Amino acid sequence: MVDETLFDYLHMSIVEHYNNENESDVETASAYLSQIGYRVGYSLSERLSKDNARYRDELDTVKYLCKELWICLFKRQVDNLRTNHQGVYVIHDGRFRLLQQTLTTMNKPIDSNNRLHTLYIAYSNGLLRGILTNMGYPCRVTAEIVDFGVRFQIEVNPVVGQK
Amino acid sequence: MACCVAVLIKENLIYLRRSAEELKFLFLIHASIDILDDKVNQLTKPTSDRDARDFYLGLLYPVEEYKIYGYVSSTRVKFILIFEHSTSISLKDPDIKLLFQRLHQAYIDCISNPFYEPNTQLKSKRFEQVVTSLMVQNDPLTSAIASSQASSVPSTSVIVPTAI
Amino acid sequence: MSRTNPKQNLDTRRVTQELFTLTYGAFVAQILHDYEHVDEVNKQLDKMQYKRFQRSSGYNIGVRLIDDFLARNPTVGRCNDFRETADILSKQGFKTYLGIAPSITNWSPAGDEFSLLLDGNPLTEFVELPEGPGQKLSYNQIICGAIRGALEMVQLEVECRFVQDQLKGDNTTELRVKFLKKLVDALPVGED
Repeated sequence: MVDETLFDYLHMSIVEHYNNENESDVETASAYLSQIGYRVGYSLSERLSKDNARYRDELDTVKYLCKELWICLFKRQVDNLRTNHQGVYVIHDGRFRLLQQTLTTMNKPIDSNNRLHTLYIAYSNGLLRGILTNMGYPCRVTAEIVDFGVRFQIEVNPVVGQK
Repeated sequence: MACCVAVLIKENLIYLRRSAEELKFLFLIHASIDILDDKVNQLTKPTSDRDARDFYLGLLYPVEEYKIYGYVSSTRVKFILIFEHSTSISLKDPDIKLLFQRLHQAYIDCISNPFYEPNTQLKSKRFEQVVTSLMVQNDPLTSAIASSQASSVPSTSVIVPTAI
Repeated sequence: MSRTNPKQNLDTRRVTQELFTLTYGAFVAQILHDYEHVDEVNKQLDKMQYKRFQRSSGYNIGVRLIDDFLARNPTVGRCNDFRETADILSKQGFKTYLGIAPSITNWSPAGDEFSLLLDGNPLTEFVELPEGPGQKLSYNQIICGAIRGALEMVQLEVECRFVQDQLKGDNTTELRVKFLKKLVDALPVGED
């Protein structure tokens, strides 16, 4: 089996690649990273669909993502999940794995104002979007770095959700 | 075995293979879409008492010469298998379910190929192989001569899924 | 801490592996896509470019991996010869990170070059190369970079290349590793 640290290093290298390719253009680099994450989420959610064969509604799907999947993907549980019951969900992970790994390796403090740091959450952003979209809930995902963690905000598009 | 295999995302046909270039298969598939959507919607209702641990939705509807079966993944990908009436007599639900599960797994592996563009036509040698096995398994001639062979199909009742 | 999910239906290790495999795949596909648009005329250069980037990504991974590797395998010391290096690379390096132990074959008479046969490589688990120029893609190239990067950190300069690739229809996937020279035991400029 593949060791989990390999994924961390791969993720870092991909971020570096796009950062170098798009010097100082954080937007473009983020878009690429998000796109890669999206593609992964798309396939991964399909692969996982066989493990637990049942149809889920929207809330169920988000819960599945936060409870069962999160621990597989990011090796810990989310600290908080909130919803306004109108398609907006806020997930808070107080020690987001991909950020921790990266920042400790870079030996720099976490700085939410440093735009470069947002590159390290762009992939995960796309990953969540890909998973939820392929599970039938197209959405918009935004994220911000808060203290040592990340707060993801998911807005599910209620119109396309059904059928 | 199956004389038509189809995979759809929403209403889009992303894969179709049939034993003969017949338009009627397209009609049959088209007619299945709404039935599948209805069945899934029934199952997602909170009141639904069926323990939906299964993506196999069974026989959708019979027509004169054919039986149409459906399977929908939790990601709402629709799989449809059509059998000639004569072949399907010896097929039991668990057998058909197994066929669908193999098709689903093949689909999963196909879209996991990084070079596959999501929601486009499935093009993959491995996927084709699996579909071929669903169509010709046990009796390669079934689809061609099934209509004249209703009585001589004992072999089709023994469906051994290939080892994984 | 005791609160592990009681309803855990998923195999975490499998998801970890698939996450890695799919992420690498999405990255390669994205690069292939990016460079196709850059300059249709100069396809040759494109190919070299994406190879170069894969290699550099791999190189960076290798440089980081070696620290992790040495920390986890404190008994691994300085290698006496290249055969020992090959052994550790396969049985510990590959084993630790990719979960496979490629067999070591085809030693050159001088003992400075060998092959690793990659069987059951998780990187390529779902891959079918695209038609057209993509057929020439060296999908596993990142492994070469990782090996070069890792070994360079322990003062070994090597050359790495794939001579056979199952994705391209060969019977096996063969990685050739050639010893070039021992680097002078000095810290690279600007590090540590």
